[in-house]
Amino acid sequence: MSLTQGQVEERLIHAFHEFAEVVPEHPPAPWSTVVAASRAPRRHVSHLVGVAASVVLIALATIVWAAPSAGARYHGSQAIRMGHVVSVRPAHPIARSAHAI
Amino acid sequence: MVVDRVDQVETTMMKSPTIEDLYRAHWAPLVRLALVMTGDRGRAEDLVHDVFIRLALRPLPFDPTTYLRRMVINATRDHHRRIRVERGLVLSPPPPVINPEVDEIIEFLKRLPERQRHALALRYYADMDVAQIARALDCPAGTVKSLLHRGIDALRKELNA
Repeated sequence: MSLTQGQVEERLIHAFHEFAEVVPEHPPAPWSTVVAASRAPRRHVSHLVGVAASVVLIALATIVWAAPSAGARYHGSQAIRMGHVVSVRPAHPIARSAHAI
Repeated sequence: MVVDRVDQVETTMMKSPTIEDLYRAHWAPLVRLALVMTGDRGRAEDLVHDVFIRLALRPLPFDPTTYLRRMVINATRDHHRRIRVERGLVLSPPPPVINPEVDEIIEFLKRLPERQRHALALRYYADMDVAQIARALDCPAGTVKSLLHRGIDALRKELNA
């Protein structure tokens, strides 16, 4: 005798619930033990990774910020001393560096 | 005396739960859900453990029960994506036989495609409706109906064989 869809569904529900019953009602360890055991090493590693990433980011930001302005000051002041610059837009980096010197 | 106890219960229920309360109350149902989705108790416990650790690192949600269930379902789906990629994975030993018929069905479910197995577990264990399963599995409702239909049909053929 072949099973109907309803009978198959009933057996499946029964199987799932019986299978799930192997899990006890209560967790094997209290939360404080679980969190103490699992978080400490991860926090240590993630802390180091975070510090390293911050250092790299700060270094990159400093390079990106400092490089163009250093170049502009050098070229601008040198060009003015050599008499190569007659007039520039006020917003141009050369004008800004010329103003600075 | 009775009034005092009722007051105590009401005060406890009105207080927002701590992570420890949630862990005590939801650990077993969540491990069971992960177990029927994965078929592996060790993995189910690991997934639920990771979910609670992630929850502990952020503010508690407004509706922790739904939120935790969603997190476990997502973690189980991610877990299956990862093990699809990993080759030569050593699986945990099979669970002890509970009942030959139950064992036969569980073993058969493990051979089904994972989306079918997840849909069946969410429908027939977690008692979620098609719309809820569609949201949980991130697919259209029609796909869920199709997954359920094909899963039940395959199981019927297996049991009738």
